[in-house]
Amino acid sequence: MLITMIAVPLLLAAYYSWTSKINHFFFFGRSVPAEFAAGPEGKRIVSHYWLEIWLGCVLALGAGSVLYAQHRFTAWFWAVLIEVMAFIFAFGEANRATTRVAPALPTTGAIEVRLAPACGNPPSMIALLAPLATGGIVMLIALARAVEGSSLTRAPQALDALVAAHGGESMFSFGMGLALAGLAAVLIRNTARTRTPLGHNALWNSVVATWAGVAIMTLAIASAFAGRMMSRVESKTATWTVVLFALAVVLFRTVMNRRYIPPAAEMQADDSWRWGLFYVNRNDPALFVQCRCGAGYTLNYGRALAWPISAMFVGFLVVILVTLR
Amino acid sequence: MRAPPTLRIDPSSTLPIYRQIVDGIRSQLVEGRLAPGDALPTVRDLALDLGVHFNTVAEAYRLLSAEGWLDLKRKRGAVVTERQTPLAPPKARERFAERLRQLIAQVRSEGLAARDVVEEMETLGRKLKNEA
Repeated sequence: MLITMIAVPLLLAAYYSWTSKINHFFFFGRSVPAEFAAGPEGKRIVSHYWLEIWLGCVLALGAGSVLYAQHRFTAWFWAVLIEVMAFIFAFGEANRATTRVAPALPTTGAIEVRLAPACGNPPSMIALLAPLATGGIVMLIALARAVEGSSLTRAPQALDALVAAHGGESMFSFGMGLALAGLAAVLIRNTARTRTPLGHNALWNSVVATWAGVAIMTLAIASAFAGRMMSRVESKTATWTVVLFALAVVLFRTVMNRRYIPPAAEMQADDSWRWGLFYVNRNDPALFVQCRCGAGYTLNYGRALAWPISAMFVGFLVVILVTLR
Repeated sequence: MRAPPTLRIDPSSTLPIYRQIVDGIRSQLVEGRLAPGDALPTVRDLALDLGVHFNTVAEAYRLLSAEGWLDLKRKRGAVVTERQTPLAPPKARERFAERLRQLIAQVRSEGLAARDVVEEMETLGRKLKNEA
């Protein structure tokens, strides 16, 4: 817990500092001339941004330490949250400063996309649904076995108790959580501009994560039904082996596709970005759009569905916080 | 090697987006950048790429299908078909000349110089002559 509380804010601060460097198209969410980013004003904004990020990290570690000293189990959660809030504040400040002083980049207003041959088709729905379907079948078989001698309604509890009794509870929960990444991939595949290298990368990484989750979950279930008791070391070794393999695949694909190229429809949309982080465009059918801060996706808050999705995510965090108390 | 066909739209233009899509794809078809058998992006993918409503792209595809350019297959997107050039209807040339005059008047009222218009038309004329 202490390692998590210290390592995660530090890693986040390093990652946030790095994102200001890897993005060659936008300067804190704004389209600006290259000479501005390299000039004295640009460097001043970057310096302020880094200062705020690392001050946030110091604050996060300080608050986390105080809570840890009070034996609060959620110390790591609050430390991470403070660092994330520091990033949002720092990036927003840098975005506002850039908007005030940077000259506007001349834009044509036109959007140009490739037609045929397609610039690369994203993973098909079959590739995304295969690991989810496999995980579903494994769960059904496991529930059917667990229900033997018990009522159907108590099958989930029976399975949970069986896995826990054989030392695989954390593996099972972790695997199931990871496998659910597949649902996010299905949603993104249908609602985002995925005909880009980043889109393909994000979807294939989700497929890898889902297969990893199914593998971990299956290992835990198989061990329980074989009547084999897994030690803590064994369960952690099995989990970390699968996770590290999946991370290696993800990292390899990310490095191979490291050039961040935003879709054409987002290159001219400066006014649709609030603070450079939050995208609001009612006319855009995409629910997920590529972040302007360097990597990953964010929601289009101009679409009605974005709000319940965000509320679900926040609710999930609140549940974790409450249950960990 | 054939340059990849692209589609360009201007959301701020007065011309409806679906018309821009139709005109853009049609020019690619006529110029041979899209050949029979080529698959176009699905309605959903193209709408997401352009940041426009799905119905806008669907309408454009329907119009091109009605003109005989595309074969629309449900869930498989649009495929370019072999199209026989129809006989020009009567007075097609007069209608073309009138539209050209209107277009020239529009771009000149937007500030484009006459010599620039002439240069562009000569370039296009040479290109058409090479293709003929």
